[in-house]
Amino acid sequence: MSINIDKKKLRKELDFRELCKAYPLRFHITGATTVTYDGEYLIITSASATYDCIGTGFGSPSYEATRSTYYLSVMARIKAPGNDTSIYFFFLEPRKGVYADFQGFRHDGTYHCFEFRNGDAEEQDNIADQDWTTEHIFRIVHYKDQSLCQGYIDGALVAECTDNTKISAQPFSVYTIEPNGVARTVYLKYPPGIHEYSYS
Amino acid sequence: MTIYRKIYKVATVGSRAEGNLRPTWADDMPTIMPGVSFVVHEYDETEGWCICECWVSDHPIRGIPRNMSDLEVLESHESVIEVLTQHPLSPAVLGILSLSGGHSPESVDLKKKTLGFKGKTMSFKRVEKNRRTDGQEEDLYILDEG
Repeated sequence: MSINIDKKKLRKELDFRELCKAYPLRFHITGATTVTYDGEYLIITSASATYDCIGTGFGSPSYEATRSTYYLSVMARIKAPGNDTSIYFFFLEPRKGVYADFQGFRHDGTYHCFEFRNGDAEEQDNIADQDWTTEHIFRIVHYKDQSLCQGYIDGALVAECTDNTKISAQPFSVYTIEPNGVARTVYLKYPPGIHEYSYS
Repeated sequence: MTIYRKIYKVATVGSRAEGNLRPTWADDMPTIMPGVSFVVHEYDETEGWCICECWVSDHPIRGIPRNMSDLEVLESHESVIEVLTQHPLSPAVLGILSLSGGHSPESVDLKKKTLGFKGKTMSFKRVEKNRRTDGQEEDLYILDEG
């Protein structure tokens, strides 16, 4: 049996710059949650009282211990077609569950927002007029010197914090689509999945 | 303790196509005025401006407590086109400052609504329940919001 591949079409469909910067994924999935793939999205369907997610594992692959001036910039394409409330959409933590040092996009039950946490001291910036049931490109920029953390949606900055007492330290792992204990179905575009900043 | 807000029409740099559309002052804000946070409500990429609502707080939980006079200083920044009094997407609550329960506060007085954190005594407005990413429920002390 042979498989014919239209290379021109393949080149058109895939963004190679995103693909080459994609991180290996680690599934933090328990029994009540299912993961399927429809050829375009990884689809996570969670039950209530589960806190599953997809992440990059332990430690940021792009962390550079000896440099102090660079910034981490990570992206993912995500949607929650059925209901976009009460989800941790896209975020950084030193490891899964270390919420004391969380940085990222969530819906807190009332607001779409970006949270900045450092040692459990928190700033929340509420972002109005959002609909995350449709696909958006989420991007987080985090400066290693903790002077700045930014949240972008669809290529435009929406929230920024410059209070360094609310911006926690690298290295981070990167996580997405954590249902926060509610039953939700969330889609992660794959490829590229979670990846470093590139755009086209 | 108060959260102070001001809405600015600000020139932009970058583009959505390149994935880096932002207010001109975005990357430089840590040197222009550290401690300022903002949300961008609207972009006009063709004309090169955005509506940027900045907020600061004089609450001691902030690294650099600031107030309205600081936001008035920002009005004269070279990238500011106009200062607005309102915007339809400006939310009732733009910023929230809080502190997680658990091991964070050194002491809590629920009657006086004060807590101790890093040697400072701070007031809080109310206590909410929040669920951490590990599934644990925590008390969340809302220090300031607005």
